[in-house]
Amino acid sequence: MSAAWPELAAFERELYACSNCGYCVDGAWPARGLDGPCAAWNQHARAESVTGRGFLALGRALHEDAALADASVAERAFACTQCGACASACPVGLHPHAIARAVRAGLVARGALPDAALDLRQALLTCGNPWGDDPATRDDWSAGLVPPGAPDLLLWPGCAAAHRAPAEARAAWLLLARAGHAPAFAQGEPCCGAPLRALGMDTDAAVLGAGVAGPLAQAGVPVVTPSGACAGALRAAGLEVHSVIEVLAADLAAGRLRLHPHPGAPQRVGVVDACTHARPTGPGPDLPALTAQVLAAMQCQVVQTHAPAFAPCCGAGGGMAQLHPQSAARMARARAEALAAAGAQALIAGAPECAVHLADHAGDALPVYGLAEFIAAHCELSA
Amino acid sequence: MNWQDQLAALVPGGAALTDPVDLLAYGRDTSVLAPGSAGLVLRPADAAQVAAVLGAATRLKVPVYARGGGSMYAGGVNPHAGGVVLDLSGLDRVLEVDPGRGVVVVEAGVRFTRLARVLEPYGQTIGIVPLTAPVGTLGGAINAHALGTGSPRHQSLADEVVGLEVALADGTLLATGSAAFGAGHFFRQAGGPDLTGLFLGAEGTLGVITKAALWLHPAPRVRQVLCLGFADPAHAALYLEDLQRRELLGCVWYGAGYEQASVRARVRDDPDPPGFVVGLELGGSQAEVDGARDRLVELAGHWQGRDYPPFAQAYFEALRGEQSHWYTFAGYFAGRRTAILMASMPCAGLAGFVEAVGRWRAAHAEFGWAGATVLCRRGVHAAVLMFYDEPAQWAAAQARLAQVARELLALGAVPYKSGKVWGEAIQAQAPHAALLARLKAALDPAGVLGPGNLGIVVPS
Repeated sequence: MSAAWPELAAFERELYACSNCGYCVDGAWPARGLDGPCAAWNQHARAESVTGRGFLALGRALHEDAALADASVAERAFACTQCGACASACPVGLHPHAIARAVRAGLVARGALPDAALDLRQALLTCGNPWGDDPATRDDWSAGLVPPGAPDLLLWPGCAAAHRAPAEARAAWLLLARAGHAPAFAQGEPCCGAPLRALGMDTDAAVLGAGVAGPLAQAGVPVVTPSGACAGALRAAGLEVHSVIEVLAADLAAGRLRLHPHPGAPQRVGVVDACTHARPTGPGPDLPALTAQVLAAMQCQVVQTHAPAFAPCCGAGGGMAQLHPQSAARMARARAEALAAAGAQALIAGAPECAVHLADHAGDALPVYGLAEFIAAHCELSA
Repeated sequence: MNWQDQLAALVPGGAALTDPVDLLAYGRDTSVLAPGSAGLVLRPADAAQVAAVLGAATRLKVPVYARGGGSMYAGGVNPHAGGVVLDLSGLDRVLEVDPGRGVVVVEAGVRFTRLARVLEPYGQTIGIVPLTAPVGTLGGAINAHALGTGSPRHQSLADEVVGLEVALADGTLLATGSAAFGAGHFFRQAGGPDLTGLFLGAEGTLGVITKAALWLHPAPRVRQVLCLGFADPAHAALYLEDLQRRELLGCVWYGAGYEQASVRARVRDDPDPPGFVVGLELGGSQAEVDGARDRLVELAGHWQGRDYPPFAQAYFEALRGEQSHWYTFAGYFAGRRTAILMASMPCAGLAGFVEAVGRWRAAHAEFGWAGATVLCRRGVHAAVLMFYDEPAQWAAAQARLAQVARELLALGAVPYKSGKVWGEAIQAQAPHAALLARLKAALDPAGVLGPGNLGIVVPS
């Protein structure tokens, strides 16, 4: 084990199990929905150092105390969206993105972070969101909504929905209420810490997560969130967490909610599943499949250009949008343009962090919605 | 200006990597061989840039290693002599599909599965598709003599090449076959000896392939697997020889042989599995497949063989269906590295090969062992799979594999998938090696193309 990179010790088996096959770089198997899983290879740099195979080679070198400049290591390690498509593509069951995250954690320990990562950390710690938006505006999405006296669940919008996609947060609450739930909603919530964990800032992430978990636990009801990243962080803090997608699908299946699409509503929709939904790290419902079920209830045909497990990231993840904004924008545009070319009339993002990023950069390729937002905008609802 | 900057200036619009972190991933392929360490990685955008780089590298005496997907297991892309790695994945265009001539022309960096998608609307396929198809490139596979799906019909990818465009060490671009006469690709031999053949399986030592023209074939509408169990490898070998001699492989798109240990590992509920199993994938129309199946099963009976569905159900159907192209040997032995050595032999060598794998398994239990064979139009390719742990067993695995190579030669096998792993064996055949050296001296006098590959030494 390298004394300089103890963060890699847990990955020693993986570092030396890589068969160097290259599926994680640019594997193409269109019949299975695999066609270039690495968004960084596709849109950031044609250098293997930003791909799964590259992170495994880097991990081995660091583990063996190779003399590599921290700045060079950081530039590559922070060019990963942390989407996990490389892990899905890997025939051997490795997790190259986790090794990239471990390298990030090592760089945090060494105080060798790029300025953009430090700026992002500052925004998250002081404002509770990656954009540095005024924390006082976080609750604006819920203006006029009356929390129930005896809630049965608590809606946690997350910073993306609260600050940048308020229509999605509001629509989620309204749909839950129409389905007969009594959804409370978090107010004055700080960051759950998920973006900090993706950056390798585990201590900061744990502190924020614990700070959030306490008050949420006191609510005594399950948490429901549209955010895949928040769901992971809140579960790691010990809470019972469900996706809005999961709850809506159950409500539709049980007849607690019925959707009546407006005439002229889009019938062919492209879906960009959140990476955290498409490549979960633990057991749970198949959220991409449930998303398709919900859209089927609206008589929408789902258009996909990749299998969810192998789809390259839209660019919202891993700090990419803040550390490499031009590459992240290209990632978003590429997903939107591919779906438009495949015949989609609208783009549904499975999580608000993706929806915000795609809406910012899809250009005129497709209109972008969160799932709840899309339903609310194009359906009459009945219970 | 240093040599890196001089070469990088020749690929405007491409990528040039010199940072040590960037160079790490380009040190090796999937082989057991030690990685090399290049000083530069270039990703040219077109053939003209490839040729320019080779010309300059020759003047500067900088080694050049051409690389596609990096998924081969012969060490051909490991830059043991340093220098520059040419990442050809940027040459990724399908240039022409000509159903009339039955030819497709592609740049060297096209991956097989992307080519298949382009050919699908035409109802066509190419003759050989290797198991590394999702990551392997046409250029790399031609360089390494790929085999796989199609080998029982078409032998190897080299046999399916109509012509090439090759960048030579002097910086020129050469078209081979009928294209050399400006007539496009429709005939392999034109105007004398088969110059195309010089570059097939040459591991980039005589030139760098930039384009390839391949024969097209109608894609089979129906695919079906058939597994046949035989009493022992000797009877399976006689069966395969019979099929090849009678040319009954027209509907067989893939064939592989499995020793009893491999069968037993997958068919757990058969206490007495066959001594050897031949897995076949049949392709064609339904009538063709049904007829072929009946014929193949009937003929197997003459050689103590029988239909053996359990192996199809336990493994072969998945391998050729949803698992096809999956890097199966890696997937099945996750957690250990796989060293592969491939050799070619007549069918009659099958029994000896299986016996040898058993011997190695017993004598060197520190490694895992498997033997597999791939059926060709004539003969078979035999693959030794040796599973080892890196880094603890790396050096020992290299030494063991070198010994395995010597023992395979003693069995009457010949090198296949050359790269560096068979370098010693190639050099030991004096007349063969001498001719390779003379060709090398003529085409690459500075010795910059793939130094170490095939063991060729440029005579001083």
